[in-house]
Amino acid sequence: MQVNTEDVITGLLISRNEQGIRLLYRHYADTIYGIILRIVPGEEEAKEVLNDVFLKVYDNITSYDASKSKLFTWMARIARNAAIDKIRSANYKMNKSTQNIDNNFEAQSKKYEAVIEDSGIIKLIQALDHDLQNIVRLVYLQGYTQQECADELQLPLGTVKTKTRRALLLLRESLKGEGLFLIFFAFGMIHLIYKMILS
Amino acid sequence: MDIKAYIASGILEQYVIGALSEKEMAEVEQMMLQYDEVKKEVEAIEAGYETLTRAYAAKAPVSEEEILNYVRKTPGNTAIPSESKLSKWWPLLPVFGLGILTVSFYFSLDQTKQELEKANKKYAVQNKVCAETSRENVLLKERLFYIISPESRVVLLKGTDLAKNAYATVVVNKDQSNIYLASNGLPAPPSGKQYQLWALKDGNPIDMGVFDVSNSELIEKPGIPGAQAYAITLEKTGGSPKPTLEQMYVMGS
Repeated sequence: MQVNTEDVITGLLISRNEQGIRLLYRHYADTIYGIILRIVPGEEEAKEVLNDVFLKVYDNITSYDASKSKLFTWMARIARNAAIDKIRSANYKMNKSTQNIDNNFEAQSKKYEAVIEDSGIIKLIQALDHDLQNIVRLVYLQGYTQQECADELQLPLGTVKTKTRRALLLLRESLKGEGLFLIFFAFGMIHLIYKMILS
Repeated sequence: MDIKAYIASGILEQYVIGALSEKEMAEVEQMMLQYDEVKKEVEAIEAGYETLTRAYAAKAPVSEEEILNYVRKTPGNTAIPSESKLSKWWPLLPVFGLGILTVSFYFSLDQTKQELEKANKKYAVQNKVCAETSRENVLLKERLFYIISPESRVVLLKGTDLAKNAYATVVVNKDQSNIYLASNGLPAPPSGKQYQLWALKDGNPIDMGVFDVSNSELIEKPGIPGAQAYAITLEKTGGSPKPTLEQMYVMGS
């Protein structure tokens, strides 16, 4: 929804303007940190990854292609991969029992309850069936591959694939109504930001 | 190719979250270029993924400034323009201006205080001088009125053969209790000598004391009531009990 904000940020980063990092931080730092924290449970390590993600985004901004993906998607991918690299380098074990994953996730959800921004989405997720909930958590939030997810949940890979898709589709359906308003809002914001930068 | 089946396979979700290999990603991107439907689906998934992850945002444990510093301090990133750093400070310009103004006002105030103090001192001195002058003025007026009073008598002492051009003036009041002597007509006395004023009463000289010649001051002395004439002789410093008549310079009655 913030495509135009993204254009501004991208432009600033390419021209090596610090304001780009500031805007990047204001728009995405908490979300990116959320992504990292679900994969790297240690706060200190998650913080290191967050720093590195910002550095990587800044250093590699010229390899970002706006025609292929949103800036957020690109940054989220960097965060996800950096987080996965971190736990692998730290000898984290991905192979835990389903029970453990569930417990781990429940524990984490409680731990970060206070910082969750949009409880509406959380409610939507909680309304999904058990398998879908687990798939959302493992695949979208904890950086599991579909194969790893299938192994963990002891489900056929094909089922995981279709359910991965269905889970997000269901969420997307529920969120459709909000789209138009957000587009108008985003245009207004972009206009303001441009004026601020150009003035 | 069956696009619907391709979309339904779940590969696009994997693509968006970054779970595919470089090669697989390139293949998806090729499909996006080729099929608008795929491109649109990827965009929809991106929006959904962003919404989902935003719901699980956690407060970043580092501040904006810390992130900036981290990026700045990393070698090779020293080229970040300081432009934005400056622009961050320019709103403080009026504050700095005000600060400088305040300091300069403080110093000029200090200087003004010092000048005022100097002026005050000068004023006090002038005041004192003025008071003295006024007092002197009053005194002079009193003398003037004393001298021009019809009750006063002016006695001109004329030069003797010893000093024909010498003269002196004695002003005597009515009861002769007080006299003023103007000595500016006398030649300067040689060293070791001093002039002495005498009153002559019934033929006897009465000592009225020695004095120094002055061109600007009247010499005031107690008068000798009943004196008929006055004379001035040159005596040794400190004066003599009897006048040295050979050294009489002026005399008058």
